[in-house]
Amino acid sequence: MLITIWWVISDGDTTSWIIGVPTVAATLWWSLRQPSASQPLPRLIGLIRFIPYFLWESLRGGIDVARIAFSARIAMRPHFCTYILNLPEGPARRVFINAVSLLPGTLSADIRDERLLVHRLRSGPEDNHDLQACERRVADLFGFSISPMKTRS
Amino acid sequence: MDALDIVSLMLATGGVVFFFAGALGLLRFPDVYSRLHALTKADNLGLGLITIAVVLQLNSPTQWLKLGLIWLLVMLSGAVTCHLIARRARRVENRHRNRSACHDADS
Repeated sequence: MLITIWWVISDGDTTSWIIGVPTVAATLWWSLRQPSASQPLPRLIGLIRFIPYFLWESLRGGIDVARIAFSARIAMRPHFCTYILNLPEGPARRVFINAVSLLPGTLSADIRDERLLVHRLRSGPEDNHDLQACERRVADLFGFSISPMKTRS
Repeated sequence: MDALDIVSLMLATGGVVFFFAGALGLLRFPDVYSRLHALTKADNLGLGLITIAVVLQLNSPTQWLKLGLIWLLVMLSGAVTCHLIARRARRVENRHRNRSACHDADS
């Protein structure tokens, strides 16, 4: 897979393998030294469902922030809120944390014991249901089921 | 200029508008976190639109893959960097607050 990525990046240029081969070897060596994955990788069916949602939310997020930037008066109320994570530690949680930053108006700032500190540009929905929805989508991507009741913070 | 060129042109123009919005947000928004919002979201969308615009002009599937990969990697690094900057800013802020609280208690 790493060789394929390098081939794509280098346009199949053979001389680039002078750098490519050591890079692939070093990455492979590093990745083999990592503890083996404790969680399943994203499911293909989950990926097919997740990508359109993610692209649509990115589009909304970009338009939203651009509108604020272009408006004559900056109308926003930046603040922090905490969100109690339901996803277990691991790849799924990392995907969620990074996806939050691309959702409209939210940005993940810090994690402290199962709590995600989220920065909002304006007051969000009462029970963080935008974050809940995103978390459910990520759980679906990895084939988890999470209880929605725990999410109230 | 055929229809494809016009679509490309529109998408690329849209992309530039979003990059401009990101830069404008960086200058106009009040604090470090709000500025991060502008940079991550607007620039990610801008890059996406420009990527699609360029893909429409290319014929080779490996080049589509390459551009897609670049977009994915930029998106990933953008989100991670944004989180790291926000976390750092938050922790430094907390440290300053604690320190000034100590000073207040001393005096």
